Amino acid sequence: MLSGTKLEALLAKLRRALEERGDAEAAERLFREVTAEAQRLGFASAYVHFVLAGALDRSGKLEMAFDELKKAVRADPLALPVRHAFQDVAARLRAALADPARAADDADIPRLYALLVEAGEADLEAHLTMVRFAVATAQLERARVLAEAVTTLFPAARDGWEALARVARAQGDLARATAADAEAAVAGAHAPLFGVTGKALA
Amino acid sequence: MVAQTKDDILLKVQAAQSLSSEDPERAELYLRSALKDAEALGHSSATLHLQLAELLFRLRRTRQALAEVIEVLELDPFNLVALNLHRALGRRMR
Repeated sequence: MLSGTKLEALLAKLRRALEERGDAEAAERLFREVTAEAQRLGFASAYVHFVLAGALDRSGKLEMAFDELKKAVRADPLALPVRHAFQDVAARLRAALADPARAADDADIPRLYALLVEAGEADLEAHLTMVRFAVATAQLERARVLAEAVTTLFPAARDGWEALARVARAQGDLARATAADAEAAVAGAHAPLFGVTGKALA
Repeated sequence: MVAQTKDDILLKVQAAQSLSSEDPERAELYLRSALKDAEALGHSSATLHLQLAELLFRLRRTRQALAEVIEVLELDPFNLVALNLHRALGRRMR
């Protein structure tokens, strides 16, 4: 068991960080110092990453909280509280990405989308938001690749086929647009109830 | 023996969690089984050991709880929950 003055100093710092309710920046700085020192000592502490994620979340830094939770899951993949927090933050990131108030060409979209895709947490709505972004920013080829992948990943989702039809039409590929429209006509009106999350790769 | 996956282990942990109040002895069996499976997969989970330590603490099996909490601190010496439990167990043993 690791012990000694160095550890005691780090634990004191960790306790100070947890008690630092008024100054979120100071708490974050202390947590990060502890994390860095722990790593130097050869420990990836799921606990420290988890509490740091909580502090970041309370400060409204959702993306950074998600990043810390990814590290916590890596450090201890069998920790249920960590997994629950990870799922919760992922769901809030998905909701933030697909917020109807967000403009189709919002510059934050690619970053939020990449975060979710890297974590295997992107759902149908997240992929479609990225397709709409690619169309809105004149990246039709990228939009097409994504839309084709979405229809492979979610073949029963009408929204996916409709997005593909729109992209194909914008590209002047009427044959593919008509085929996608036909698929959309027979597909369900809503996303499948038990949709899957994952990477949309062509 | 059929190899257990991480998801199988998580199911056992979840079962242990829901049984921990009503049937702590069965919860302990699930947790020990999950720990064994995790070990077979090459995982050492501080959180699993901590869950078992807390259960054993509630069952007043102090020495066994202490052994588990020491495992936690070997894996993650920065876990303040484990450190607090370690202190509480120390007080109980005096």
